Amino acid sequence: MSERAEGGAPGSALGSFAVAAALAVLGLFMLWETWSIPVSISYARIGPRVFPALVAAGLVINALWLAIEAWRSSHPAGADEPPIYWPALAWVSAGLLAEAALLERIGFVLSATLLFVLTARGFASTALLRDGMIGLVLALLAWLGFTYGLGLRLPGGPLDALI
Amino acid sequence: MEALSGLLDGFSIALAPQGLFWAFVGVLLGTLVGVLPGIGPALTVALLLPVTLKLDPTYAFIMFAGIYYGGMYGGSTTAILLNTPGESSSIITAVEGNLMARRGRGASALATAAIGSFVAGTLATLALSLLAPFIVELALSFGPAEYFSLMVLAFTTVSAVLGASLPRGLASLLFGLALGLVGIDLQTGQARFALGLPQLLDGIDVVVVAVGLFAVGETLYMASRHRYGKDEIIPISGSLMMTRQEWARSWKPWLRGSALGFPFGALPAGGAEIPTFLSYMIEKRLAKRPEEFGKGAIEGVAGPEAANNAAAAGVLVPLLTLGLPTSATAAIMLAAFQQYGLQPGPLLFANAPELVWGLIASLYVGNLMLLVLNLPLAGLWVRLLAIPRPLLYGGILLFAGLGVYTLNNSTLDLLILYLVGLVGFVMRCFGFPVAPAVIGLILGPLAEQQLRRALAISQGDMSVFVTQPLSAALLAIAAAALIGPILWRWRRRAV
Repeated sequence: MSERAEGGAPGSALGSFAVAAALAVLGLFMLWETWSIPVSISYARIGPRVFPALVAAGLVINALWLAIEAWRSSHPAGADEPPIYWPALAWVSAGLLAEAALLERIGFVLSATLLFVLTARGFASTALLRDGMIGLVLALLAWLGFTYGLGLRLPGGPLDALI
Repeated sequence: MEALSGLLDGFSIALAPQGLFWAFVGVLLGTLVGVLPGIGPALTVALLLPVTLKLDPTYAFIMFAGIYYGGMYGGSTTAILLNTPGESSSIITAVEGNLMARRGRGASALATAAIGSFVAGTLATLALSLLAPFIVELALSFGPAEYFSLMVLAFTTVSAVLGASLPRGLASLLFGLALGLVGIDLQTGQARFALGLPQLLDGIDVVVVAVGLFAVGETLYMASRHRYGKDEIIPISGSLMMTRQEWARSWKPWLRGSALGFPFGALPAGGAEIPTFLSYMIEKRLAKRPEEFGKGAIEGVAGPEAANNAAAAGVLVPLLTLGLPTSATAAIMLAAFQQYGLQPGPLLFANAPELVWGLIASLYVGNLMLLVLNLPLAGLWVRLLAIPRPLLYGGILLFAGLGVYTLNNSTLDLLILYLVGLVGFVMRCFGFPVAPAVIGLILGPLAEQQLRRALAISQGDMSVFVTQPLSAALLAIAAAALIGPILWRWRRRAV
C-alpha cells in the first residue's frame, strides 16, 4: 500500500472523527461483552477476561487519541484527495454480496462470473460481453481445477447435473 | 559447525528436483504478483493456504519463500516503469527509478535493481544462515515473560513505523487483536465475542481477514479512484547491460544497502521502509553528483533496492527463530506454519531441521532463479502491466472469493470477507496501515497465551514483566518506540 509522505494525515477531519467514534464504540462493546464472559473462580486472576479487557481499553484510549489528532490536524478536508466515486464502489459491492448470496444456489461458476462482470463494471468497463466471456472461462477453469485437480468440491450449480 | 551441516542438508533438499520445482513455481508466481498492481505476496500466500494443505510442508514453504522473494523483484519492476510502489518499501524506487525510466534509462534502472536485489538477497541470506543458530540458542532460555515482552515490542514497533501516524498504526493493531479474540478461549473453553453465531466459535480465519484487507479493500479503493488519473507505463529503453560506469556507481550502494537493510529486518523493528529511506539519504550524501538525485540517479535505485531486499530476508530471522512476524507476509507465513501444526521458534530448528534449512537453502537458489527470470525477461513481465484494470481486479476478486469460500465451504465467510474489505477500504482512505491488523490477528492469541503462562508462573504477579531484566529491557524499548516520537516532536516545538 502506498503510504503518504510526512505532513497532514489523510482523510477529512469529520471522517477521522467518525472513524475514532466507531473504534470507541467497538472498544466499549468489547468491554461490555468481556463483562459477560463467564469466569470460574480458579481462573479468576488470569482468566479469559484479562486480555480482552486490555484490548478493549486500548481501543477506547486510542480512539480518544485519534479524535485529539483529528481535532488538532490542520489538514483541510480532502485537499489533495479526489472525492470517492460512489457508483464504482456500489458495483463492486454488489458483485461481492451477490456471490455471497448466490454461490450455493446457482453454483460457483455462475456466481463468480457475475462477480467478475460487476467488478469490471465498477472499473468503468463497458465491454459486457468480453468481461462475461473472460470471467466465465476463468471461473470454469478454477472450478475444473478444484474439482478434478485438488478433489475439492465446489457447488457446481447447473454443472452438477452434467457430471 | 552445526549450522553448516544443517545448511548442507538443506541444499540437498533445495537442489533436488522437487525442491527446485517448487522454488521455481514460487519465484514465478512471486514475480507475477509482484509485477501486477493490486496483488502482493501476502495476499498470494494467503490464497494458497487452503490449496497447499496436502503438500509436504517443506515444499510448501520453499514455494512461499519463493513468492516472498519474487514479490520483491517484481514489485521493483512495477515501481520503476509505472511509478506505483507495490508497498511502502519501494516508494523510493518508484520515485528515483521512474525518473530514470523517464530519462530513457529504464533498462539500467531495472538491471541495477535486479542485480542489487540479488547481491543483497544473497548476502542477507548468508547472514540469516550464520545468525539464526545463535538466536535459537539465546531464545531457548526465554520464558513466557520474555516472549510476551518481545511480542509487545513487535506490536509497538510495527504500529509506530507503518502508517500516517502512531494512533493510526495502533488502531489497526488493536482491530487485529480484537478480531483475534473471537472464538473459543483455548484454556477455559469459554466462547468470546462469538455473538451467538456457531460459525464464529472457531474464530475468524486469518485468510478471510488478510484477503479482505488486501484484496477486497484494495479493489474497493482502486475502484473508487479509478476515474481519476491514468497509469502511464514507460516502455523499457536502452540495453539491459549496464555500462562500466553504471557498475562502478552501483556496487557500493548495493553493499551499503545490504548492510543497512538486514539489521532493520532482523530486529523486530518493523520491516523494510526505514532502511530504504536511510539508504537513499546516505547515497545522496556520498554521491559524487548529488544534484542528480531527484532526477534519476542510479545510486538512488541501487541502494534502496538492496536495502529493501536485505530487510526482507532479515524479517525471516525473527520469524524462524522466535516465531515473531514483523511484516504482513511473515504473519501469513506464521499462519501457514500453524496450519501444519508447526510453531516457528527455537524448537522448530530442533524438531524440523530439514524444513528450516531446506527453506533457507532454497532462498539462495530462489535468488539466483530470480536474477535469471528478471534480467533477460523483464520485457515479458512488463507486458503484464498492460492488462486492463477491469479484468485485473475482476480476476483478483474472483480468486479471492474462491480462496475464502473453500476454507470452510461457508458463504458466511464471504460476507465477513466483504465486511472486512469495507473496513480495509476505510483504512486506506484514512491512512491506516493494514499490516499491523494482520500481525495483531495472528500474534494476538500467541501473546495472550504467553501472558497467561507468565502470570500463572508468577501466581498473578504483574511485576514479573519488569523484574526479569531481559523482559524489562524489551518493554523499555517498546515504550521508547511509543513515546520517543512524541517527546521528539515536543522538543522540536519547544526549540
